[in-house]
Amino acid sequence: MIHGSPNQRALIYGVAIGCIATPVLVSPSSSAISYWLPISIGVCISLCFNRDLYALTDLLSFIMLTGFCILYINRRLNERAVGAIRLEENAEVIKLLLRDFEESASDWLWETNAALELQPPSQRLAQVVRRPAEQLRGPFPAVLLGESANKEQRPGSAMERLNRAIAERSPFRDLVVPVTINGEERYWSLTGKPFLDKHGRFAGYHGVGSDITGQRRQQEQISFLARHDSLTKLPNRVLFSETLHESCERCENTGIALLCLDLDNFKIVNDTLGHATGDALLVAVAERLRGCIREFDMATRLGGDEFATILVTDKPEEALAVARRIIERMTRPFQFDGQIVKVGISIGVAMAPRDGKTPTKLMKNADLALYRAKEEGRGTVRFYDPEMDERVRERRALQSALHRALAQGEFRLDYQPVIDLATRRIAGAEALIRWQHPERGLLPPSAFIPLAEDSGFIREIGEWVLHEACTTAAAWPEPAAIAVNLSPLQFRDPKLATRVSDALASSRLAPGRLEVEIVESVMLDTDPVVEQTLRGLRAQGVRIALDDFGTGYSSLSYLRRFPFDKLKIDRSFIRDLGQTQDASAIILAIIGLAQRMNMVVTAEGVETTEQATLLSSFGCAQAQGYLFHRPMSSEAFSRLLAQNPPHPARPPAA
Amino acid sequence: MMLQWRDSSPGGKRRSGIARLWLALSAMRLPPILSQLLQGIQVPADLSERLYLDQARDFSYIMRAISMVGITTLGLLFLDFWHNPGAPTRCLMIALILATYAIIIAEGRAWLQKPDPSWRDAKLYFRRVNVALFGLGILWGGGWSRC
Repeated sequence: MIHGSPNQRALIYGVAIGCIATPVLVSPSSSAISYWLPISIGVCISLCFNRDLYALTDLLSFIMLTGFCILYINRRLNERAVGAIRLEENAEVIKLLLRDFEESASDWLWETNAALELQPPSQRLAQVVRRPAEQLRGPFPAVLLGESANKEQRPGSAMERLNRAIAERSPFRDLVVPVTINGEERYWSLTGKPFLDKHGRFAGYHGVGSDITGQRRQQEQISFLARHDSLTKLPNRVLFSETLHESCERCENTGIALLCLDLDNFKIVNDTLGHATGDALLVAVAERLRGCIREFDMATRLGGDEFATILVTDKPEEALAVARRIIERMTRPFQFDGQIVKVGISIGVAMAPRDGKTPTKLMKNADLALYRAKEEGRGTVRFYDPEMDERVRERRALQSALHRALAQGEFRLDYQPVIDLATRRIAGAEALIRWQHPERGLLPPSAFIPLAEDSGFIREIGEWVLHEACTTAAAWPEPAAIAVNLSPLQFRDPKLATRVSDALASSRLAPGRLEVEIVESVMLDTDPVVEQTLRGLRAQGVRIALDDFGTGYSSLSYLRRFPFDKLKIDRSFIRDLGQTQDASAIILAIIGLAQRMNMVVTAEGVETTEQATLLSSFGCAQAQGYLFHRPMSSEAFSRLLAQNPPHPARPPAA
Repeated sequence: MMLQWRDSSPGGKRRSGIARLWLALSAMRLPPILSQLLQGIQVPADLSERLYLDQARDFSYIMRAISMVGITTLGLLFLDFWHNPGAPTRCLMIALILATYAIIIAEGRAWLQKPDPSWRDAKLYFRRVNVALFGLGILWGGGWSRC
């Protein structure tokens, strides 16, 4: 029972309430309840003794409230404590991970204070900048980037964007900036984010940096390779096109000269000396080409043995001087592994804006000029002339007429007799194609065969010639032979042997009476189809003759590789026969070589009796030329054969 | 005096019906809440030691503060009831309560000064202080009738 005055009782109630409420502050709940429970029970019992129902009811509700609060507050406190510990642990883990990342990765972390001073510069960062950490004091980014922080300030550059972001206190991401470390130029990628203090004021930056020099150099290398020729390191067609495009845009002010260059005889070097020498030659040519132009001009390898240069000039004489210098330098011999290699170069020039203002037109005109230069003997320079367009148009018209000519029977064969020098009787004839053009009259093979070869129409023409010649020769008395010229392009056709066999079968001509004439360039073709075709023809009994011998590449190795039946000495040697000692010596050597290799020799272009007598004395078996007969129609040749039949005892071409 | 709970008017009947419904619903909701509160939160095993040590530190500070307030209250009561009869028993009670507070303060002090305390030390500390608090509760609860 509570005694005392009303004031004292009020004090006691107050103290009792305070005591009951106190455990609310206590955590854990077990401790709070250890205190709250006995005190609550004790106070209730005391009030029961006092029989004070209102006070008891009030106290009971307060006790219940405090009990609830003890449990509730304890629960919340524990939840928060667990959360806080988890957060702290996570922060610890993140810190460890970041430290690990910084130690093991190529990247590093950086942080500044509000004054943009590094805080504190880590050992990893010190390693990266190759300076002691103590020296890394000063405003960011200048303290890290060195001289580069002051250079490269042009608008839009990464350095300018970095400085602007820092000045604006805004974040920046993956900014690639150049850095000079101990004199070495490197590239860093920087990412940074400003952070604020608890009052919301700028407190500094933190971020990550990485050295991407390797990556950057790889990108530069890739970019270089995409725009440069990997062999010669000259700009390639892509960069050339871009530059030509840009140059054409400002050609009205500066003027440009486009030089298209093509190496003469490069294919021969490549085929005879191998691709390694061919590549070395291209590298050397590129080097000489670089030496012929100014720094602001551009030399390009367009592909194969084609080069081009863009000269910034509006003076044709200046372009001519450069072109001549290039020709002069390129005709100097090259030396590779002790081998002397000689090539020439043909150059076509187009001037902008005079000859065209667009890259396409300029390129086309320079190509036309180059074509003319090659046509006119190689090793020369030609400027574009509007007449060249006219020639191209003519050429195109002739090309389209070629297709029509075969269908309309405008081709015909003439036959030039081949004479056996020992008996002076006809041994056979060489079939020579002619084109009876409806407007231009009779055209020789040189006027249209190159066109047919360019257009690929040579195969159809060649097949017609073969059939026509075989059919005609089948009517001749034996053993008169027929010689047919085959283009090198026909030898790329794997079905050539079958086509010849079909022609022989349909004409019923004995294979031994057919002789196919090939030029030396066929033997230089490394394609295995060529040799297979020759062997296939030989297996059928067809005779193989090497035409224009002595004028080609003078590589005699193919004579060993393939057994020819006949060598035909070129008319250029016969022309000089009796006039120069050299011509006789060469002819004697060829005849000697042929006899030892069991081949027949035919001299072409015999025009004088003296030449025929000399050839006969040298042991030359056959000859053809105007001295004996000009090419003639099949009817005329048939009549000739009837008057002067071939010697029956002698084999067709031996 | 008897409390009048019933209201026989039609509006009163409706109100008392609503009140009964509310009380019934509250009573239904109370057990799960209390059960949840009594169960406390499930502290993950890896955190319990750390949590225990943190709680022990905070607990020692709070208990010291509560003890100081309690001692002050005792002083006030001692002075206020100085002239009342039954002084020896009251003084004994006050002395016992004072002693318990002293024990609690001393335990807290000892705990705070303990070098490298472990989870077991914290548990022991709580157990000792809980006993003291239980005693203190009995003393305070039973002491009023002695004032």
